[in-house]
Amino acid sequence: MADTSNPSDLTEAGTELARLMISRREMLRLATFTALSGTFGSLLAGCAPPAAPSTAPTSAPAATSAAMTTTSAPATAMAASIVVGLVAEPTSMDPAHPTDNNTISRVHPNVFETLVKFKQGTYEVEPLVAESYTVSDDNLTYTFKIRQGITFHDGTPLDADAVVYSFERQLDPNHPEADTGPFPFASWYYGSVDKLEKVDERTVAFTLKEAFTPFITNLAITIGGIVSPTAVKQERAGFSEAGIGSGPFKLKSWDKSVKMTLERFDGYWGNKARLGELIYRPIVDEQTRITELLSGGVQLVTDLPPDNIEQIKQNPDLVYAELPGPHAWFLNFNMKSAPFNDIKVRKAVAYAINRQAIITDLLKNTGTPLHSCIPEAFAPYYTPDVTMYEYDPEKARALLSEAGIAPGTRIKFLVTESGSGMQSPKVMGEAIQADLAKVGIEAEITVLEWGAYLNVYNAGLDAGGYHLAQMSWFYGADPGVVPQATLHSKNWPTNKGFNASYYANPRVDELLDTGLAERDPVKRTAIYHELQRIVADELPNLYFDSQIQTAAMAKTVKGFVLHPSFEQRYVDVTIG
Amino acid sequence: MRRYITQRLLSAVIVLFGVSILVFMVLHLTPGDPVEIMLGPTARPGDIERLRAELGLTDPLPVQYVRWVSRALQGDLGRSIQLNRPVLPELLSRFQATLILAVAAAIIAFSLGLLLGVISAVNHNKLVDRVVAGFAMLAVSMPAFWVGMIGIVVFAVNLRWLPASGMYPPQGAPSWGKLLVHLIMPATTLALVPMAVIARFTRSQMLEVLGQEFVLTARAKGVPRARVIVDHAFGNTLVALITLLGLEAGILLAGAVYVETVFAWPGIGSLMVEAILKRDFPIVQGGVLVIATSYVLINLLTDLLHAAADPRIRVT
Repeated sequence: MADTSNPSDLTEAGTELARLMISRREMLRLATFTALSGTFGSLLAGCAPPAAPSTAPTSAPAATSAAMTTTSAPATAMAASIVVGLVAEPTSMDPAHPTDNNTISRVHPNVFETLVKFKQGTYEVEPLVAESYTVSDDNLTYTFKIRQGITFHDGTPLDADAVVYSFERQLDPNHPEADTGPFPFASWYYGSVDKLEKVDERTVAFTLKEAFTPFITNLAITIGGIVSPTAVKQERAGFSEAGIGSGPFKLKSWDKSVKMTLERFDGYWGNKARLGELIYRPIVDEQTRITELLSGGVQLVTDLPPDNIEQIKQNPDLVYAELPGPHAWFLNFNMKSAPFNDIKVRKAVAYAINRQAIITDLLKNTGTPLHSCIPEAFAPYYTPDVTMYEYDPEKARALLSEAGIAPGTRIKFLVTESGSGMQSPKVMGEAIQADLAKVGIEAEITVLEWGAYLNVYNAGLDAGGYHLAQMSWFYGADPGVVPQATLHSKNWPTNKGFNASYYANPRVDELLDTGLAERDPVKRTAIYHELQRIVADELPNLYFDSQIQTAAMAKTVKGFVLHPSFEQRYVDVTIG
Repeated sequence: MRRYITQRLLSAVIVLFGVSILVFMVLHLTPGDPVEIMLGPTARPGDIERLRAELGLTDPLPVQYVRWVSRALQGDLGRSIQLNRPVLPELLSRFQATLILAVAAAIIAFSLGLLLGVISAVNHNKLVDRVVAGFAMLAVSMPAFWVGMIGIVVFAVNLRWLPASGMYPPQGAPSWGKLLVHLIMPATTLALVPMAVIARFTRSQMLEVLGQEFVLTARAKGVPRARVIVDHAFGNTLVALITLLGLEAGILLAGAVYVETVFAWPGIGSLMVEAILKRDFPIVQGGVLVIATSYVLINLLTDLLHAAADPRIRVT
């Protein structure tokens, strides 16, 4: 671009123009055609050849490295590449930084490795970087034996020091390379760690402040990905664009907002990736994601627009996949005030709402009904064996009259415009309002923008004079953490907690506390089943649905499996 | 001339000052606590305090504004909340893509628009004129995102002639040829409305000029018809067209928001949409500032070209 930032340059340009103005007509031609094609032409040229700055750790030209992958491919595997359409640009290639599912679950599991990983299809963990681990009898000390022979993408070895380093730089704000990004997720997941030490070259021990069972599953989340200390020290802030881990794919190039190319890491310790390249393209518009899939520009997309699912299912060249996510959408009752301090009125609301109609017609089946306070994705901790309130307006009216609620009773219903995980809150709110009107409850809706909504919601429904509100949570890696935050009596809004219904039940508190400390899966399952039954009976919240994660891919893509946690691994994926 | 330029520059500075206040206020006019909005429902109080201090939100507004402007003048527009990267380099690299798209669209809009306008005027009230008028009406009435979608369905999904989105194919090294292929659909989509406006405008200007006495004189002198049309008539419409160029530049930048989103074009428009959805205020603020500044600069350039083209403007 011509330098017009300096006023004196401009004046000079002006006089230059005036001098050039030999005749008006010539000037006019200059102004339009020459200027248009000429200046804009040079503008274009000035914009520099295509490639956005590429921050590849290996700076080999794209063409040669593509050829290299072809020749160096093992005979058994095709050096093919797959293009995956992402909903947004990955935010960072430092596992400590991201707060979005898109980066944490879709990209990082392929580049970074954690001490343990989720088994296929469940939240149970199995060894990854750690070949084994032991837990002390008091459930406080976790000791990990690091697998031998793991190297990072930069060739340095992954040892006990690297593990300690990867966690310390996230947990200790005074660490020389402390950099957690704007939101320190590590303290949310690993805040229970009291002490972290290297026992020997291959052994690391974590000591917790108190028994906290979710600790082990939280370690499977890539926030706890092990990074190369050498690379972090070298790159410093630049590490967020270098991403040196030990996973089956390594970062080859990253053209910001255009694509990110990962290539097979040939020094990988385990089964090597079968793809030569894994290319992510951020395509924000959901319709564009679909048309790219239909036109063959990308081979796999997730988070499909509900309206396109039928079309995709019927397309013979595409394969559709879905799985309920670790998500719950629910209504909060303000149990502190009338009328919802009466269980009968809460039950009446539950019977009054035509849940299936909302899920089918408004959500186009992108949700699956949820009656428990733990989502189905957390089987076996989840149980469907709870009181289910199926649509029954007659029963609702009967319960209301039993409770002495006159037809036409008014309540205030807090509804949000949109929000992370909130699905279609406004139309859902209106449908619920209409269902309640049919049984004689007049819900007056207040619609707030998400930010404003959270302010009002977190301040407490009772403080704002509201009776009913909407909320949703993604449950992370453990079934117990969110119920603790949303149902425990110590977490009332008055204590800055998320128990917005002001629910208090000593038995529930006890189950929530012991559930987080219990390590025996059988006992833990019993605890959470009891919890779900009590909560469904007492209805502090009306659990409504779990959002379904969806994906569509070309028929030629094989070996791709959705995981309840949303994580996506491409090590075994092939393309024909 | 010098005085005129000084005046224009001064007014540009005043406009930019106003823009900077508006942009700064974006953060404070949004309902709710900006920091809580940015961090979402799972943020703990400690993080909220930390970010609030980091953003300097605890100081009085005028202090915050002065600090923000002085940093902005030094090229520091803060860090993106979502991307955790400095805002300015991010914006500039995205702006480059927008510029490529807008310039390509401008070239299409102006070359085709002028051509169609001249053809219409010359064939005043004949069938060709009516067809062009109908086409222009259609082009103005169709929303850009809709045209883009239809284009994708027809040319990418069904015919498979053109790529559906993006700036380059994901595999292999980028090249000018690949860029051009990816440019065709988004640039044409973005060009449609300005092209129609320019065609209509050129037509009416030409008709006006063609009816004037000097044109008749030229013809009477024996100047060939083609030369009269190109030199005499068209030449005289250019002053007005330069003004249009400035106005259309704004339309091109605004239209880029839709077109970039539909075609996943990595420009500043799609970045802003993402940033708004994710409440990434530093990006939104910086983006508005960059777009407003470029718009002001384009208008300044238009004014200068205008003055150069028409001596009467300079005098006043």
